[in-house]
Amino acid sequence: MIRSKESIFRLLLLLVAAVGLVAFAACGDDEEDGGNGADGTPAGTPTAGDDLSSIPEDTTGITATEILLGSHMPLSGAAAALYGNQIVPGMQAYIDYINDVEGGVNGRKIRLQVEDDTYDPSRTNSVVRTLVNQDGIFALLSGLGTAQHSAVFDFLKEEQVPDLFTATGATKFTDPITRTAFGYNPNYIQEGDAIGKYIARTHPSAKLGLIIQNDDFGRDGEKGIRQGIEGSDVEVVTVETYEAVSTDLTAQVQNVRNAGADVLAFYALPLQAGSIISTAHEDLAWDVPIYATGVVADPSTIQLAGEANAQGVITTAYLRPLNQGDDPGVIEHQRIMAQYQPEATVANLSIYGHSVAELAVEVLKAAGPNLNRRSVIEAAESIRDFTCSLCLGPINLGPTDHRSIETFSFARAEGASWVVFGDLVSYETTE
Amino acid sequence: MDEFEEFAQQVVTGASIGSIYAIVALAIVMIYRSTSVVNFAQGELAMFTTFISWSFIQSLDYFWASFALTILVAFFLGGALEVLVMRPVEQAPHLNSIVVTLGLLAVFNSLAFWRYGPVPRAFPKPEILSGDPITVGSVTISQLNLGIIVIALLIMAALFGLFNYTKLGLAMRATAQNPVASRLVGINVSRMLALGWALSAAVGAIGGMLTAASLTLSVDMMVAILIFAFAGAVLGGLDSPAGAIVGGLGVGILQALAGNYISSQVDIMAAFVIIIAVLMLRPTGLFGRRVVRRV
Amino acid sequence: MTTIGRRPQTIAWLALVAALFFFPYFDTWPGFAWFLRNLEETTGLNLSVFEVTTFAVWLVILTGLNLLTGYSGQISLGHSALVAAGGYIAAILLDPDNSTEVPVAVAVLGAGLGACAIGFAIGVPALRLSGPYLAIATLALIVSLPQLLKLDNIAEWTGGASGINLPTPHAPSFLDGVVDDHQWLYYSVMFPAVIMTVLAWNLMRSRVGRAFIALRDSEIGAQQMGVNVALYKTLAFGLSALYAGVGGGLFAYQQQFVSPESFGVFQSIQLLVAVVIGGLASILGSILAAAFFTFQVGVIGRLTEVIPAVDRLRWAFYGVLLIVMMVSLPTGAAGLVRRLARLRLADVVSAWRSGDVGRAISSLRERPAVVRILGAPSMKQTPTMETKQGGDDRSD
Repeated sequence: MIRSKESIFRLLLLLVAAVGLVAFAACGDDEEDGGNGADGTPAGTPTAGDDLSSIPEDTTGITATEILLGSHMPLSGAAAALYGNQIVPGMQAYIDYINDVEGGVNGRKIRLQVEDDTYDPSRTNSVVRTLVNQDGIFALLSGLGTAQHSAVFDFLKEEQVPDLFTATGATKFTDPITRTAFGYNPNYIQEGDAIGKYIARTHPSAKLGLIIQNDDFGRDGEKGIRQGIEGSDVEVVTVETYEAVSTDLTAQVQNVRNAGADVLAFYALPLQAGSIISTAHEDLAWDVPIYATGVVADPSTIQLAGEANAQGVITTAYLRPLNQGDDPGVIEHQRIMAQYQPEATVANLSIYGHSVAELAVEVLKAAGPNLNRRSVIEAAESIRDFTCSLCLGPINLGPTDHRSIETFSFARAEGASWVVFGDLVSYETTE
Repeated sequence: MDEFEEFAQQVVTGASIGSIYAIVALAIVMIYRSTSVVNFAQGELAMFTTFISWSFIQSLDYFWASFALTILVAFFLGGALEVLVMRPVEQAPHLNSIVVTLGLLAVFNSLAFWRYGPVPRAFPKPEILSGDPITVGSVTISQLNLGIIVIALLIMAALFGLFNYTKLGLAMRATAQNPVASRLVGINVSRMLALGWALSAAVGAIGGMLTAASLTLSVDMMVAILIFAFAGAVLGGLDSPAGAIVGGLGVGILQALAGNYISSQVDIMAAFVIIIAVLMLRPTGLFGRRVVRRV
Repeated sequence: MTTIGRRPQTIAWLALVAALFFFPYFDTWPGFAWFLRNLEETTGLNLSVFEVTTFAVWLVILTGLNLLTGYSGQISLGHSALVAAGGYIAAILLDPDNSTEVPVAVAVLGAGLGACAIGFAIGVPALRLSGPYLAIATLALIVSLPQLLKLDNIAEWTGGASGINLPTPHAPSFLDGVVDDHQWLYYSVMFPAVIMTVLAWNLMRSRVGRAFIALRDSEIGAQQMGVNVALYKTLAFGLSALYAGVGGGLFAYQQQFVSPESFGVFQSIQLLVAVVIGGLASILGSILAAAFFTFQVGVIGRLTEVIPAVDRLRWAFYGVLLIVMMVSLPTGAAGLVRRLARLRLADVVSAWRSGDVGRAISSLRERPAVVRILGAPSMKQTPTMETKQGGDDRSD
């Protein structure tokens, strides 16, 4: 039979492809065995992670004069860029301050390298691998974004790079415990629980309507609120969801009202929060008590909702709000920002950045001059009753507790700002 | 609230957001009708001009003056875009112009982000349209939303009148259908094309400002709205202004009903389903005219 | 006439193949590692093994998009959705929480076939649609995809908003010491990527490819010529979906994570930007597109440090690039490369010498009459029928 050159070529190609595929199928790799991570433990139950001695005393990223920390933040792209652009200056300002005034920690200056992941998980994967493999960071600080950090969490765990103070309230990073990973934000379930309990106390037989963002953040919040109202006469009459990309929540608010709710609670971002509040209080003239996640405890939310509409809305707070102008911590923050990051905006998010940097520095100090990846974990776990200059409550960490902020307070919208009131609520578990 | 009233409320809520879809859909239809191009940058252009209006309001502090000024700016911006950017690709097949509009989408999104940043802002509501919501029975609608519906209908009437009862409108329609023949009968085709874009940008600007007034002004505000506006335009027929209004309102209402009776988890998917259904059953939409292609 | 003959071309391709094959071992040579570091620091071009593996993944995906948009002229804004479909199928199959242990190749193949099926399903209604309608429909698909993935009833499989985490791939035990995990990842992705690219190249030179091109240039004309329009239109969709699916599967395998946020409308647009810049209807174009897509973020990031405004204007830059390319350089970078390869250096130099700079530069521009990539040439431009450059611009 006569075969043309082309068809022989094609046949060869197919043959090679077939061989290659068989080779892959035969060497079915992956399936890593012996992974830690017990599941089935209900949220909030501490479990111990890997043994401390399994973490090598690695000094990558540490020289006699410098400590290199990395971070992944959204600095461009989506609306999330708001977070990156305001948090990073806060962190950087405090670090510059410590380097300047105290010469760093134990004689080593801290260098923070923040990479932009444009809020895209595959980009996060790329920059974090670069940070670890090529730039040789000592630890990752304040990785932001649930989905984004999920993409790199296992990698950091495998490489045993300390994953410090992730900037998210998602529970998946701290339950079950990974020895090298620590959370920072109060987790949404705990916060929801607190809100739920507050609602149960204040409106004993309320019909509660929920509006949540259709992702982990919203879902965890819902879980928490349900947990909080358990045992009381409060009844959840409906749960409405929305996609992060939507800006019109009229339908959701409407549905909550139609379902007969007389209290509204929501887990949304400031953009949608403004819409929810103004739709309920102004457009529909519905005088319903509103409770919100602490994520919206920023003056801009009040502005977006319309000051008149936002009065009386209650949320949680764990850091001192910017508008408490006579607070020494806030004043100091403003001074530091003015000196080291004069062009950046001073906002609740820069306060956040400052506070997480402060905790990181405290941990580095506690690790002492003999700094390595194991000693920093030990140091972090030894933090007891540390109230940072901008925090409302103390931070406690331990081998079975890698959640940093578990104490928060409530705040109410009064005028153009959020005013903290009431007692601190604590979710610290005793070990 | 009984069954019927709940249904009526959903319809009213749906019509409120649907009217915004309708206005944006109208802008899309305008360009399609006069230049046979689908403008994917419609949403971002509207958002950008709305930010410009915000700047005007900051300095002029008078809503309606800024409103009018913005419409003017949008008008010229649209015309300029057509002449400078779309003209070179108008002879080429659809793919080119679609890609170019996608490029414009990226450009305007980015310019707005660069100039105004990621922080969402409150946009003032015009005085006439603020105030207590209107209630019929137990069905409420805010004054603003009612106003938007009225404005949408007014724009549609104006465009309808323009296209069907004026010589200019006739010239524009002729240009869209057959540019070569139109040129031969003395119509200034270039001017008609530019006018199509200019009007569309102006309508889009109105849509953007009303969107910002009822929601919040942010760089991402038109992204979701654009999809639903497309759904509405497709539903009503890409070349029918009346269809755009009906389609836009229809999509809004269907979305509200789906969100209420099925689940709020499927509202965006509902748009997709509508588009597919229309394209399967009646591609030219409810009011569109069937185009017979002569071979 | 080409100045670069057949033999040098083959040598160039072979050198490329060799480079690809030995690439993971290059950085064991300290000089090369130093070179890579400096390259990254100055230009932002990150050529680590992981990044080049990422390049391979997007190569498959962009080849698929080029098949659909470049060769058959159908515009789809939902390519990202097909990638997501493939990614999720593979992730679900590879997820250790789902009890069955599936070999990677099977998962990736399954991803490809699954996406292909979806592509065919879309292709059928797409038949009735042209240009704008198809774009709108696919746009709606990609925007509603995140919601679909988070639906309560299937969240159990898709991981809902949290996505799916996959275990790190390890090299099989018999290769211990020869390849480490990173290198294994590279080979297990690059190998199928190269094969699929070569297959696509081959396919586009065959009857199928010619049918696609005929379809793109004129549907009616193609029909007159006996091309089964319905079949080939659907085939184009199915084929591009197959590539998207396999690419998506490789994506999930390599990234070890998928979530609704990993895909989206902006990604779809980025893919289109990349393929236009790289070069439509050209395999070389797909390669350049993948290079652009993978490495541009790093380069722009570095540029941002010099010119801060670039950061926020990144998308404006892409948009302008897109528009400029559509208007003046529709064949993209690949077209430019091909024309440069054709250029007779002597001609250009002599034109320059004789002061005719215009001609020297214009020899680089596209000849309207020869530009048939995107359909009939523009009526506006005066056709200069220069048969001197009679080579077929489209062959590759």
